[in-house]
Amino acid sequence: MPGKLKAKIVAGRHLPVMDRASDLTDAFVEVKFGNTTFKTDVFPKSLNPQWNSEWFKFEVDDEDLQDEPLQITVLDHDTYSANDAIGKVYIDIDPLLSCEAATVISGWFPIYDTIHGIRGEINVLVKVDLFNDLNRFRQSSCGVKFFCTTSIPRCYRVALVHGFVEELVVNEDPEYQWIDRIRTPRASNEARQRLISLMSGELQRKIGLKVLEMGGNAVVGYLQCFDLEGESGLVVRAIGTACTLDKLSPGTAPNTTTHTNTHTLPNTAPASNACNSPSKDSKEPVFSEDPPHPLSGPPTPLRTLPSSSPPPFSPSKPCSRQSSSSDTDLSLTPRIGMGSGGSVGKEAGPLKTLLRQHTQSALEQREFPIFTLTCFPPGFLVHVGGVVSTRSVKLLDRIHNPDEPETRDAWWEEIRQEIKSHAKALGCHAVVGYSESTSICEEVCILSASGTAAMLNPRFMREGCLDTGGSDHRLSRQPHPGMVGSERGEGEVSSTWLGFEDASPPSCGFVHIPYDEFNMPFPAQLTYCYHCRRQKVPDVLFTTIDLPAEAEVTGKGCLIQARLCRTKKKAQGEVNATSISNLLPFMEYELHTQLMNKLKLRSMNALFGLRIQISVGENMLLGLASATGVYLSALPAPGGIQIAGKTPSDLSYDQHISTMQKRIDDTIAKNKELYNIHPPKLFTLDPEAFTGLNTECIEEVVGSPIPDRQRSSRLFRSTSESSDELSELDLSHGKKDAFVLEIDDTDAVEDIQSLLTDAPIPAGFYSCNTEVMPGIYNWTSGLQMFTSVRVYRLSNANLTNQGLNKIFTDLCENLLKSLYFKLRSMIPCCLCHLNFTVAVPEEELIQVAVTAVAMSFDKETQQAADKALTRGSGENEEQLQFSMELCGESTISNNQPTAKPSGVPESAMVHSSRDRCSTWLELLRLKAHTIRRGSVKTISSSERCSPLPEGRSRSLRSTRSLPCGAPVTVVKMTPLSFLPGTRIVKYLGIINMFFIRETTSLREEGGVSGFLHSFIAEVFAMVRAHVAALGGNALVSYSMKECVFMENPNKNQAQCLINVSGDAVIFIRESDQEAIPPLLSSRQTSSTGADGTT
Amino acid sequence: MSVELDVFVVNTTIMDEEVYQLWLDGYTVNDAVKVRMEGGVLEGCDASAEVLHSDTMDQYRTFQMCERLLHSPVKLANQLLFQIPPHRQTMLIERYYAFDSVFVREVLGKKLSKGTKKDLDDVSAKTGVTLKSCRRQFDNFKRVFKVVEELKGPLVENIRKHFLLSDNLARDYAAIVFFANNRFETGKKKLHYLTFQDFAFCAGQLINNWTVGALGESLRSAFVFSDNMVEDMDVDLEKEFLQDLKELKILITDRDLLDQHKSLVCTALRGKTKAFNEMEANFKNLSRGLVNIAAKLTNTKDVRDFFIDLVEKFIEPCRSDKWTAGDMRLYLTHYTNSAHVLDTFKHQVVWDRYMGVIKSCILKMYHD
Repeated sequence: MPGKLKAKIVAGRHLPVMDRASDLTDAFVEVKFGNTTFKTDVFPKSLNPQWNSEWFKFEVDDEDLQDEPLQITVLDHDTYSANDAIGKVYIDIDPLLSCEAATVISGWFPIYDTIHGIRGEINVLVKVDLFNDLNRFRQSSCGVKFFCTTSIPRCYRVALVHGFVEELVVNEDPEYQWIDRIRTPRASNEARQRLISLMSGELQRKIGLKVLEMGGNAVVGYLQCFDLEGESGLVVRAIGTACTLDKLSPGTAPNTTTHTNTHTLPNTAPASNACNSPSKDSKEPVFSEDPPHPLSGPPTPLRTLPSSSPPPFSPSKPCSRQSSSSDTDLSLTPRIGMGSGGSVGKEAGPLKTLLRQHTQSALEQREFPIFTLTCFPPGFLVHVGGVVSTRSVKLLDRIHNPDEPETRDAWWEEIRQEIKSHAKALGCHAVVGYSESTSICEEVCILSASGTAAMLNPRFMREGCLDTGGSDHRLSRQPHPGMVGSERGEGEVSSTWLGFEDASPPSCGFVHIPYDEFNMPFPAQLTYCYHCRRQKVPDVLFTTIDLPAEAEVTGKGCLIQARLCRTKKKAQGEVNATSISNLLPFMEYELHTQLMNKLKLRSMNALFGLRIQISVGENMLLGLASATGVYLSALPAPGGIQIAGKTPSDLSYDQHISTMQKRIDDTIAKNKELYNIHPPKLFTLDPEAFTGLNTECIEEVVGSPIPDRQRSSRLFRSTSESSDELSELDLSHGKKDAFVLEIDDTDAVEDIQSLLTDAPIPAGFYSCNTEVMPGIYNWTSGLQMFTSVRVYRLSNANLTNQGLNKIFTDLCENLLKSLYFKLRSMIPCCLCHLNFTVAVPEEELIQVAVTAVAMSFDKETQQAADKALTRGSGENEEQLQFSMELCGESTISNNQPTAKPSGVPESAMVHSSRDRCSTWLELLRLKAHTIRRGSVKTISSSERCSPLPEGRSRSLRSTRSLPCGAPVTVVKMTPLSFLPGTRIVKYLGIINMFFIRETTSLREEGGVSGFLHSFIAEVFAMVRAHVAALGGNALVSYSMKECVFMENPNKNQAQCLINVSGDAVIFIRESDQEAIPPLLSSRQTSSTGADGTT
Repeated sequence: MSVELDVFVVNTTIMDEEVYQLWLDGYTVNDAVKVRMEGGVLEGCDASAEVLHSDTMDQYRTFQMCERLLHSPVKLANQLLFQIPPHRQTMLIERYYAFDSVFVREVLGKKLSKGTKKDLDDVSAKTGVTLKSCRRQFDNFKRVFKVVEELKGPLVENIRKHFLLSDNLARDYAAIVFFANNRFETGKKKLHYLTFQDFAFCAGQLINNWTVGALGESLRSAFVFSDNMVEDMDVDLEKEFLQDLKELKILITDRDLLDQHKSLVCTALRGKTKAFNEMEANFKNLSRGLVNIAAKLTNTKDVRDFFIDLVEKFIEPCRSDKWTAGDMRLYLTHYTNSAHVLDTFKHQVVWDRYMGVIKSCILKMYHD
């Protein structure tokens, strides 16, 4: 029950002048928690009052401690009339409730008023004395740690991942119509801020309770959202991943996740091995579970099936293609073998079955095998199936009983079930990188959820390992994780264990298909993994997660966006909902096609961090898909884009097509240069050596050893495709090949135009929407987080879809261009975690908000590292291919009999023969270069080491240049989970703040831009102040989740709501020697793994 | 399609120095965009004028929001709204308080009042400095003036402490404040040839030698505690000293003393300069001029005319006699030193205090 909250008001500064006569202020402070209020004395006639108050003590329930914020109000004393409020500070005391987070809140806070903005600052001290409560029926969940970060926080290791937690609270919105109000705008804004603060606290407490029930101690990837449903109410909902985290002792805290796993893995591995005695090498089946099979049709890895079910008029079932499956899923009966269709009984070995069953039971027991994490400890992610997403259109009705938010709960439950069933259809038992969002316009609401279907390693799940012994083991270890002795012991285990794990190359495991290739959930083209040559991989992979650290990437990545605008008739109620839900599938399809084409155009084969946002407005729908494209070395090289006309009779038409084709080919070639994509040229390498070797092979390669994307793509798909008739034929069969663009209708012409009009990124810039850009390692400490908001007014009312598309595309492109220009001083740099949010705040208005961080890197060391890497990976390949010789042969013998019945014998043949020739070739090269290889090795290692100290000394210098006596702590902010060149030593707690700002003098504040500019700056300032007061110097995993802007220029009014969140941390500059960039070190592990096989 | 709202906010506020200067110089956004385009900022960037316009707007807004803080630079260091690296803060302040010498020359010695401010458009037209920039500079002068007016202690130090300015800029502001306070006449045609730096140097001399603050720490504190300090120590000339200056009149009223003085100076100068004849002929006139200036300084009106008097009574006659700068130095040195040898002249201390300043001021002002 009890806790004692203590607060002390020290001083104020820069207060506004409240008394015009004296140009001074008689300020005093009210401190309020729950229903208790204390007051300080009035400090007369000063703009810099020194109250130095006593300690105000509140004795309260810990439940209240979690829910309520401490509310500090600064007022101006007035003898004759009512006291005037200067402003308020809300302090969330949650970080003080966990013993590992902050111990005291102390510092200067901006005094905030919803009408005037920041008005001076106040110095406050807050402490909490908490008496532990062991009551089983308690309602509080103090001590559960929350992290916005969607990976395992840097100074923790994960002992167990418990799974999905969600909660939702609803209430009436204190102000659902801000124009006609009864109370003052200030009062209603404050009521709203306070309510949301309370609701967030309650939500967090309830989620904490769920975590405790599950046996966890933390929530990672905590995502909290607000739905401002207007008249029907206010919903605050949150999802997260419950985990048991162990704190690493500060001395040994690793700076990267890659590093973490060497500590993490041994912790669980021996245990799981021991109890899984029948399947002692539980990794084996994981990597050999998909026996090679032939290819089949074209791919559509994105699986999105929008369904609509506005309850009022279709109470029966969601009327979509997926309805049947989601319905059966509702029964929640564990289904055997769902992971891979009927394959379990057929051909999987007993070990595999066992593993499957373990994994299944582990996850099947949960209602939702869903994880909000996007970045995982290595080994956690076994296979990735593809993106699963669901959308549902709902009609909002008034929430009648806030205590039982059943409808909203049921809606989300339905959606999660559908996500789960999609994942099952992809042969996966879990969904990772999961997120939920809504878009509301009037009474229509689109609920969206998306994630990545995946197979996970059950070792991280308690039930999955059946290892009660294991968890005991862990528990016994927990009390002294920081002891040097135990650390060292684990280190030893780790090395041996890592060797074991690496028996099969880990860098490609996750791209291997999880589903059964005979019962493929969607038409896809499978090939053998280009890395291990043993498992099947799809030709394209779409995911919502971050690029796994172990993944091998060729070249660099880039941001890929698909943008779409669709007009819609204005309508009300059910008609509106139906028309929206009818539009959704087409939008998804088109966005997907755009993404695919743009991916091909950049010669890449995988998307990470995919986020598709569909926003609804009164007369249009906006779709924006953002992702980071990369070339995964393990996947096949993407084919080019081929343009085909349906009526190739006209000569000029043909010419038109061929010029188009040429432009596209040129762009692809240019992009390959730009992103440095020079994939291992297995078939076209060393032409001279090649010609002298084998004439048969040369014929296969169509006599063009130069890496012409077009040709090689044909080669990949089938040998006979060189004749154009066949591709025509393919089309008529209805298998719409993603590579072939038909330009018969104007739409397609538009598509191609838009493909080619994407402005190239200026030199020196890279961009991605994931945490970091693959291929860049040597970040400097230079970093700049920014938020940009633009609102466009569409002037002409009658716009076509094409016209709208063009406008929307230009809008996004211009915004990006603007960013590049503004940040040009940081070159060379990369815009990371570019997060676009689109909205249609009003008819004919489009709002785009972008938050990202620009991080500069060191060009010289980058080039050196690039060189070292290309050499290193080249060497890596040689070794791998050498080892592949034998297994390649064996797979061929396996392959041929199964290939026959599937009806595509040629391709399989081609494939295998190619395999063979490549290995011959590699063998030859290997022999020729044995000596050179040795020398390369030493060069690369020396280059790897030498540039680093330079970079470090630079960062040191920059810290020194800051004056030590700076009065305001510098607080860095980043949407990433880390700061380059630094080590996070402590997580101080979650920052989750909600602000409203309103003005009735819009013009005087510089118009809408001036108003929003100062508001965003104020929000940043308040976030920084809270972080600093917790003792932190950075906010990581920052995000601006809501930025709702409304204006009424005629009345000279505007209002804006902003919700931001992140993790407050303390970081220190890296000074120790082991600062190997994450990707380099992961390369190293993978290469040692390869060594092990040879 | 039109952009209704367009903002870009960064966590660490970094301003483009070029745009900042344009803003300070009072360029409108459109003009600033033009200047930037001509400056070639878009070269090598794939960006349009639109992008440049948006960027300029963002920066201008940031500057406007910062302006309030720049009015009290100490706040800038501990405010929370903008996170600005310290060296950037220094740059922002220094540039904000920088002024155009053509502009300051126009208002130097004028009362920093609303009336003067109203006339700024004339000043703007005359100097070519934009009205906006004129207003900023004028307001800066006024703000500094108001703050230090009420403060005790050394003027330059006060300005530096309260406005975080560099030493040189603080000295210039001290001069401006000093001139504004004493309302020295600087606008007469005869004074046009003098630059602001000439006046600033003279102001420095006056502040360091003729004010209460110039007496040194020990005396200063004695003053502070004894008679409750009605006058500003560094801003006003020391009244007692001005009274004492009347005593110097004896140098010209006592005929013997005057002749004695003349013969001493002429003996020392003979053969050392080509202008000796003119010096000898003009000695009495020049000496009368200087001593009369000293004797009249108790009148506020005559204090205002200090510089014009120096020019009319001393510098112009010398210039018409074609003295070189070397001649001037020689003459003033001997003129000052010879007075010490006069047996009946008892005001050596006051004489030195007076002539030290006069000598360096004249030397500074003696040019074309």
